[in-house]
Amino acid sequence: MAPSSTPTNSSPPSTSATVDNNLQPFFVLHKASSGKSERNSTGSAQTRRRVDLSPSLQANSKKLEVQRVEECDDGCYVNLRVEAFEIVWSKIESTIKNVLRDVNTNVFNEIHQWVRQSFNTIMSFRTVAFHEATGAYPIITDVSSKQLFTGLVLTKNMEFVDDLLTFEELGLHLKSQGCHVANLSSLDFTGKSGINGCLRSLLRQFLMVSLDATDISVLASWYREQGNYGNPVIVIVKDIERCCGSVLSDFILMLSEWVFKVPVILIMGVATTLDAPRNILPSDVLQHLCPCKFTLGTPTERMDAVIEAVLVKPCAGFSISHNVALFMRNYFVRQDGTLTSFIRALKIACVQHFSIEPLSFILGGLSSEEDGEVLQDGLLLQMVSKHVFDLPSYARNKKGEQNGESFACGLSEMKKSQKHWGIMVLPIKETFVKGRQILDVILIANEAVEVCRKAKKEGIVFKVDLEKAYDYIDRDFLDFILQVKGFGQRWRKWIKRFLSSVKTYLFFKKWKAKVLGFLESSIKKVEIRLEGGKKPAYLEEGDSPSSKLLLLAYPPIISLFTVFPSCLYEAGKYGKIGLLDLLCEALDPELYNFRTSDTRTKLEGDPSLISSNHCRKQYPLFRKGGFISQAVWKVRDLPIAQLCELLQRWEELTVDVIKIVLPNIVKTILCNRYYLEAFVHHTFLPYLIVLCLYITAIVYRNVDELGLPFELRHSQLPCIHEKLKELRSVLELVSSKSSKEDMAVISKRHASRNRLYIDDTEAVYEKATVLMECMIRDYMLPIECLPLHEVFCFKNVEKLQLALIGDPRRRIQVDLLESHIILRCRCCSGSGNILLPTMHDTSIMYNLAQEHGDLINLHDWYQSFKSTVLGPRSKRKLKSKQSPLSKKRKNEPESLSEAAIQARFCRAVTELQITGLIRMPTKRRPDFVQRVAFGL
Amino acid sequence: MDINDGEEDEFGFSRNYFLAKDLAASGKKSTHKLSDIDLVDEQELRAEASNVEPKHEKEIESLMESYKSLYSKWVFELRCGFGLLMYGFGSKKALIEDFASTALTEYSVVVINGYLQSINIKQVVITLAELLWDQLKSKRRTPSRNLPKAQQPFNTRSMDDLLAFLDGSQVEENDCVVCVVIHNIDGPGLRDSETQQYLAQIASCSQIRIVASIDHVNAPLLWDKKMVHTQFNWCWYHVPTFVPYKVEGMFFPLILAHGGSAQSAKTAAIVLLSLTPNAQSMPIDNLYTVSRERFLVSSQVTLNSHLTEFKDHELVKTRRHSDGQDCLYIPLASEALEKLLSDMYQ
Repeated sequence: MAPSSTPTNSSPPSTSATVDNNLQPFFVLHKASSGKSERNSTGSAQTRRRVDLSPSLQANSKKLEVQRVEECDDGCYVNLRVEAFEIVWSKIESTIKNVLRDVNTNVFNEIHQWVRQSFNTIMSFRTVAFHEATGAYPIITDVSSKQLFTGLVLTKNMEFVDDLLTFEELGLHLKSQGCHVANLSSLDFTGKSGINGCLRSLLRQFLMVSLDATDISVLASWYREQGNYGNPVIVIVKDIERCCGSVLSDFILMLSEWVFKVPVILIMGVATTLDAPRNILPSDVLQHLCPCKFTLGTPTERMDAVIEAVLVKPCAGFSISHNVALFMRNYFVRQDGTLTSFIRALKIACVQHFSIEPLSFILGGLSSEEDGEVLQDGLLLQMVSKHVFDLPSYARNKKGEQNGESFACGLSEMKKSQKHWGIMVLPIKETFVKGRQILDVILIANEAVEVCRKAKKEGIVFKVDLEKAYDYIDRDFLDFILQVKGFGQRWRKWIKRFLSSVKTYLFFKKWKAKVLGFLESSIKKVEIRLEGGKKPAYLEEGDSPSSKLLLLAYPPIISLFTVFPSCLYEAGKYGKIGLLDLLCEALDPELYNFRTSDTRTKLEGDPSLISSNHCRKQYPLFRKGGFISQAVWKVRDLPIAQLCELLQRWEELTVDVIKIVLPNIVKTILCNRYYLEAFVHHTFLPYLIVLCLYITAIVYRNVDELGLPFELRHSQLPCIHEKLKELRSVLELVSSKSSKEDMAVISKRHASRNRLYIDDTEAVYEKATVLMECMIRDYMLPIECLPLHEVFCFKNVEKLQLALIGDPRRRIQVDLLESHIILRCRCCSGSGNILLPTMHDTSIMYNLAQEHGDLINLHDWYQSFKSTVLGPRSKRKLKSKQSPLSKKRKNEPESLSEAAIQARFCRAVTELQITGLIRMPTKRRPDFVQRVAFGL
Repeated sequence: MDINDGEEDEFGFSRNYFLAKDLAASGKKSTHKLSDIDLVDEQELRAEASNVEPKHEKEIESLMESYKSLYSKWVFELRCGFGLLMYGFGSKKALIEDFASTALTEYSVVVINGYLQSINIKQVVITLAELLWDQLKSKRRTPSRNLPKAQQPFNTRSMDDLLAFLDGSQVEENDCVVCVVIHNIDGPGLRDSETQQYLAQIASCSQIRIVASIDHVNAPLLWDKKMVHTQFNWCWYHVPTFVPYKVEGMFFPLILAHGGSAQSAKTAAIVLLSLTPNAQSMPIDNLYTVSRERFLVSSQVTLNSHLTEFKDHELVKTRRHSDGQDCLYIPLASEALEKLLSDMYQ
């Protein structure tokens, strides 16, 4: 072993040695010291396992122990945290891997099936006898049989980084199915190393040897060996767009020549479009390919899956604060856009947390063992109690009782509430369902009406009962009517388009003014109610043909007519809300506080304030346009089938925590046809929400016995429960009423909606909303509002940002422009913008350079530098510093220092050149240097 | 910190660029020549440059001292598998080496001086592999049963093999690690993309940790997303030191020592003065005939030998004319030549 004799932490090596080393391309600074094991044996600071530590501890005197605690702050303590980080991060990492693998499972299986099929095809072509195949030459057959089966895996992602792991996993998956797999990347297909490069890499991966002389016949003979024969050979090229085209085509030609002897199946990752191979490869190569297309999941899908698994559900105990979440979202959306970078940001956040927060080592224990067990150790307990009382949230929540017991108890509560939180966030996400169009319009209309009302604008309100208008009018008939009434072809085409999709509003916008004028002239201030059942007959009534038409041309016109494009825009965006956005909002403590205070007053306030017509106002707790409020709104608009799904998901999610059999009531109600239909009318939806909440409440009541988070325990759970009961009784009443009518005719059903009934509904509706607020408030507690969250939650955005995104371009310039601030130098500060001769030379130079354009005249630059350095005549600071002589004689030191000034000028220019801020003079412009960076 | 300022930055940047361009175009270009400065002798300049009096020594020292408190954090991050990337104005050589020799004593440390002109990356990898091998051997006192026998010496192995060894899955214990300190990972010797690829591969090895420094503002452009996110895995640290770039700047030419026409004239004069009188007075045109008329040379051979001399000192260069004839010319500006001649015949 013999550790080097180089002094490890003592004085720096002698100067001559340093100079030598400076000119060496590389050198060994020192070898690993063996000090580590020695320190371990003395047991001072390097203890790595708690188990080792505890027995020796008992023997020690208390005094020593205290001393130890101090020591441990740098020693074992750090080790514990590193260990905890490793545990936590490996957990997060494996979770992410699993999630990503799950996302891709279907595609992987598809690919595998295709591989098997194509392999069978190849084998069926193989009529060659075995001995014939042993020759070192390819078998000549016709072109059509030299087909190379190629799977094009479309990654839908320009960022190739995100798919590195995918292809690795794909390789493993295929390997586990018995295929021979080699993974090649664009680095193997460079023009420099040519075909040899990829072949070498191929042989390396299949044969496990590296050969200098590469030949594909080696591969063929390898394939003939026992155990290799009879399985497909897969070659994965991860990123064909970045490969050198000629090398890749050579490679493909070669493989296709040999495909009979080595049944190679090619899988290529394509980032752009499926045309990519056509752009890269010449046509004679393309004809050898027999392509098949596969598509991977979109980045957003993957992102959502990862966030759900890691941040929303309790994964390893580590969590992030609102600010950090916000930062990470912006980083993802604006800066990089790759999942990989997001994961890296998370990892940096994690590592920063563990390196800053002294108590974070608890996390390692928490995620792996039962609560509290970590604290069995006397020494650790001391450390914990030493630090825990410094935590602001702890001090806030628990004054007085300061012992380990309460701490452990707090920890476990913390852990539980984290779980609850995840449960609440997910259902909200679930309510966003893709592919709905029609019902969006209702939302738009509602919003529009509300805006109108607020602005006290006059307008026309159409109340269109969607179900009827939509279902009962024959579109062809409508078209026919239009034709009969003499409408032109173009207009009819418009209407047809409206009928088929909501999305045409954009198209219509162009015509807004024209159409509006037309509409207004024909139907001014008409309020029309369209009730169901009246259907086409209605067409025959009415005043002007256009009004009728408009009534029938429904939602798009409504949206157009109320003319609030912003609302439309909002509505259009709804479907695209990411989980990350929701997470950000759910994590916001300020918003939470706002919500809480707001709803508390509301609960006590006069309920009559809330008008049932103003549905929008019933959600004051949500920030306007906030994602959560949007989500709540979504629930109201859900079609039946999706609502069922949603409820099922809620069930599953809540069941996860406590294995409780949910009341059958959900299912019975869901099976009740009347209710399902009713939801379409948006009347009974709140009941359903309440129901979900009710179920959740039941779940939580049971949790209560096990120990709820203390904030919740004292909250309004009983009150919620009471209200739920009340609501449920109403619900049951309605349900019993309705069940009688269940089989009745549709028109009759509508007739049965009497006034009293509606009043009832409104009351329940109102209560339901309030309740929902309560639920969200209580269970979606942002982590920052919990006691002890410092242990789990990383909050320091700035640190994360600094470590994650180095910004040398900006920061190096700032260093130069504001050197005196960083140096904290007394003589230079306080000067304002005036350059003082005492400042750092390069800093002066760069400040001077700011006055020039993109080219700096060296002569001018030098002169201004010189005058700055010499300073005003009255001040002697510089001269006194430079030489004692200068005080007496004025002219001489200047001429004396000319060389010095030039030397300093030269050095400053060199330093600026090293930082890359200027470029040296060119032959064309020998007297100018070029500025490279402009502004910060 | 404002998270939303990204776009404005972009905008501000492009605006500044065009403003600077405008400024250069509108304001009349300064016509001052570098030669207008009364330049001192090069040797004197070099002597001065080597002992420029440092400023703010105390402040710099306290700045360096303040970074020492970060050492433990840096070690923590290294242990967690990150690479450290130091940037900010000033030479960070001393800082990083101090960090390595005080805080990284448990690990072997190899220093690469990226500011040098050429670095053989394979040699570095071989050294790394040897160090790791030593470390592994010393760790396992027991006869090595896990270590592969019949070691092929490292310096005959291929790069891939070496990297595979450094990425060693054969090592269970994770803390058997070699640290690589790279001064100026953006330096001239490491700047090409092939070397950067190798460095990235080295960095991604499980037994290697990297501490590197950059000085160039555009250094991040050397790396693509794969290298940044999955291989180097940088933790950035802004550590301006304001220490002069003494070693790093060693290979940069002094701007006032080269390039100016006066300077070329001077060097030309020196070369000419050291020639034989015959060669000195040789005119440029009409070459052989004129030379012969003046009895400067007697044959083509002697002329050629003189010319070789000039070519070696870059006083004369050849250029192939369109009709295939070689033409000689002097690569000096005409005013420089005039100055030279007037100096010579004074």
